[in-house]
Amino acid sequence: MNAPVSGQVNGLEQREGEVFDLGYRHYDGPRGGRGKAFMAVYDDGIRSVLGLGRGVAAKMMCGISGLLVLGPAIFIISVAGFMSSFGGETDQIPLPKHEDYYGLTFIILLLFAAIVGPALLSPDKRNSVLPLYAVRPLKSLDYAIARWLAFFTFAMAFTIVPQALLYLSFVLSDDSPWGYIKDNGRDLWAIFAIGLILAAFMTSLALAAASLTSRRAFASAGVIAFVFITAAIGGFGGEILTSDQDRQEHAAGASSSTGNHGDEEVQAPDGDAAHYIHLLILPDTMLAGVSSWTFGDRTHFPVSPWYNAMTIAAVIAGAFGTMVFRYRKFGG
Amino acid sequence: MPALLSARNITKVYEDTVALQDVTLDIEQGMTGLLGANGAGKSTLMTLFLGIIQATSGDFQVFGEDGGDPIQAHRLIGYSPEYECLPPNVSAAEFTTHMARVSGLPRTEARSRATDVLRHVGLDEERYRPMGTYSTGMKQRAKLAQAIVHDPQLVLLDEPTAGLDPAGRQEMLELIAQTSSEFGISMLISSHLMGDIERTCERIIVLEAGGVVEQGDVSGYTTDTETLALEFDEGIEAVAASLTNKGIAVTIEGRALLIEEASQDDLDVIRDVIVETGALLHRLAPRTQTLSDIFRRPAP
Ligand SMILES: Nc1ncnc2c1ncn2[C@@H]1O[C@H](COP(=O)(O)OP(=O)(O)OP(=O)(O)O)[C@@H](O)[C@H]1O
Ligand SMILES: [Mg+2]
Repeated sequence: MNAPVSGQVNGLEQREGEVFDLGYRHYDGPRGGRGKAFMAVYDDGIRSVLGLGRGVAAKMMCGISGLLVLGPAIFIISVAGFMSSFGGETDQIPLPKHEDYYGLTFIILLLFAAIVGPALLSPDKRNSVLPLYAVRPLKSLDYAIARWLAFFTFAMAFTIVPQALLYLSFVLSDDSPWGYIKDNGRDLWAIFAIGLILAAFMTSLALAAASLTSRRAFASAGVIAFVFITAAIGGFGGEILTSDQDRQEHAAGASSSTGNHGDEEVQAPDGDAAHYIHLLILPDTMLAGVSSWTFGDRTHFPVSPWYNAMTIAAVIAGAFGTMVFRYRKFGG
Repeated sequence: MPALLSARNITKVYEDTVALQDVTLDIEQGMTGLLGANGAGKSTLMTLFLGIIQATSGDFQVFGEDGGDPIQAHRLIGYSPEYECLPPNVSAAEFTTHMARVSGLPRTEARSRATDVLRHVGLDEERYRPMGTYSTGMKQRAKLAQAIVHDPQLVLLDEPTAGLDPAGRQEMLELIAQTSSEFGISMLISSHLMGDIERTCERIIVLEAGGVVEQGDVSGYTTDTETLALEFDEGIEAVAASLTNKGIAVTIEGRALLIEEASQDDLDVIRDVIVETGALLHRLAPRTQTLSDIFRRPAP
């Protein structure tokens, strides 16, 4: 067989592939500005979370987190499917509902954010890559926000996709799917709203930690420490205040208020400091509070959900602000 | 045609160090060398022009525009810092493509240019390997690749030969010079080695302790002086006296006799004089005066 057309030039042998490698050439095509640069940083953030072009360990990290987050949904769906295929009444088994699901995956989401999130900011600092961004057509904040959005995209997917699957399975396994949607339409926006808030919460915490250190491991530890230490303060603080209060109440011969009667106004007099310090237990505040606000009156939390919302909003704003402050400009 | 970069009375003060003091200079098209010892202010000057740091006082222009808002200018500038700036777990192909996109190139263009440019700098087979596994020479090439991948008009290379052995240094400089001359990309390269700059640059700027001590064309410094050096073991004074008598200007430098721009006739005279005086000639060689010689002379 003869050499392909391009395989031989003037009788000189060329190596495979060389034909298309023209070496350096001038570029006359379009040159984008900040918008294109922003998208490039965003795309690279997505690739970095997925571990594309970055070795096996990075790919595994994302894959494992994804499976862990989806796992419970798949399990619930299979159980429900199994039951209904035997003509069983799915309503009778206590399958987790939407609002329960976050409790199952919160810790996985938190670990995912803590472990993978900092990869979007810390290594570029550690490896001194930032000056290369500084001399390109984008601003320091463009870079940070594009990275934030890249991780936010995954956090959203990881909170919403399993819930959407669950919803779909509830719809399909219901005797009257249309009826289910009509009765539970509110759940859809609740899933979206909580996904948004939870994702913003995780992303902001992870990227704030990453903006403070060039060591990924420190940032990861920082995220987890922040959640656990605030929770510990909330827990112990609540304990101390509650027992003080109990003693006073016993002394006064009053009956203590014990949880879920369904009427928040009665249960949570505004002066009850223990309930406020409990807000520091961010997973509870996030999950119980926000889901009671969005899913309606199905879960119970002692103080008005507005306090939960405000607490979470404050954490998100504080964390996001930290990152913005750290990336107000490149270099010194 | 305005200068590509120009600085007017730039001063940069860090807490307790004056890194640049009242620097005024222009960087024209072509290759310019920025020469200076450690701490002379080379990197400070480059990062100032790039808008990475701010001057304490003074003005500068990039492509004839005030250097205040660098976003526009950055589309046509490339930069390679003096330190390592490559993520170790990412391949050169991935990284160079990404950097081209951040410079505003569309995705497919970015990818094909990254391939071409990596080949141009001599990273062909290795381009899919994580850059953490690269040798110093390969890293310097990858740094150069990301600086030129978007086909800039001006490239600032801070110590592109740092860490290279003499052969590697030579190759790198040839690559840079070739890229500059063949594709008309102006370059500003810094080095603390005179050899690097006199071999490759058309113009030179010498920084010393934050101030410009020399600037001008490299050729202007080297072509005008072809010197013949004669080293003697003994009898140098007799030869010098005899040559001076015959109207040939000489200078004595240690055991060497330096004669500038000797003609063919002069050479005959010199040979005869050596034979006549019986002086012991140790070595005879032409000496092109290097920039090093020029700058080693005490400033006038
Ligand atoms: N961030 C900084 N903070 C304080 N001083 C600095 C800083 N950066 C540079 N300097 C000082 O400014 C002076 C010039 O530094 P610069 O890095 O520009 O020199 P250089 O010519 O690039 O040296 P080298 O050959 O070592 O790279 C030095 O005295 C240095 O110590
Ligand atoms: Mg330097």
